[in-house]
Amino acid sequence: MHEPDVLALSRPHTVIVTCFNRSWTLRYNTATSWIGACGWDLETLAGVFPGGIADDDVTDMWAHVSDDDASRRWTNTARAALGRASGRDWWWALNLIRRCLESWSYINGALLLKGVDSNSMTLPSWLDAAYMLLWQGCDEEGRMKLDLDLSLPPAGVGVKQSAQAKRKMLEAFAAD
Amino acid sequence: MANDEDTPTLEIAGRRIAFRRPSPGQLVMLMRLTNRAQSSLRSEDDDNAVSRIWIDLSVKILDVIDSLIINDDDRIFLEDKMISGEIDIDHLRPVIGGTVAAPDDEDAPAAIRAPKKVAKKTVKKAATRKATKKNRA
Repeated sequence: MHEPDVLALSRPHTVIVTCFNRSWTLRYNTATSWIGACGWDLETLAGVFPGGIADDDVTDMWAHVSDDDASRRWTNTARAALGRASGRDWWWALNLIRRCLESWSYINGALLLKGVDSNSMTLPSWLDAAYMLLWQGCDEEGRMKLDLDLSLPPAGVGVKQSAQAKRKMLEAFAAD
Repeated sequence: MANDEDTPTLEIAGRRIAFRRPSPGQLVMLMRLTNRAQSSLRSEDDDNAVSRIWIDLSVKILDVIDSLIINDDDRIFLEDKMISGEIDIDHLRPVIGGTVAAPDDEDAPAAIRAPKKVAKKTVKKAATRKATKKNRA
């Protein structure tokens, strides 16, 4: 099971990221806002960034809208933002959101029946609930596959492994 | 509009012009910018201020469209047509698609349309201002 960054989970809803040598504040308060922003374009996460910047920052961002490397920088920033908002690796959160969006009516419906409303929850809590719903619905093999699928970064994306993740991997290797 | 998936083309004033597709980030920024301008327009009664907001929006949209034109000759052709008033921003709307939709006007084909009280000549002014800015640079 993927372990979240507990310190990150206790952070306020506001996410601050840096791009084009300045900081930008994203104020998506609820899980719904984050899921919707991700769903706008699951590949580039353009709905997260630059889609989530404050109204007052739109003019400043406009100065970079036709920069050659804008798309790459936006996507990198959006990934960092999702990582900070979820308190987990961005790809884990994105994989789970993608999976939930694929069968939104079923998953959202099941969560609502359990009192889990994405409109009134933070993203980390909603991710926990969605993960548990999927996990409970699987047998042992299915659970392993679920964890593997969620931990897989998108094809062609190089990710930096945290020291904690590296240590865990080595521990798991040593235990085998 | 699309002839080829990577280089869609659009016939404007008798010439077929190839554009790059806007990136999702550019589309989302166009949407944010248009929504912001529209909320300013809604709260503005002064005709001059409305005209200024619309020109500013048009210049910004034209900047993006400009960056999507593949051939320099096409860019010059379009600028000439904009300045002469033969075409306006409505003709270029398909380049950025219907993504820039009016938030309170569901059946509108697209929102990049000057408010009624702003004359079409403001768009011509925008093109002229953009060309002047570029020449100075």
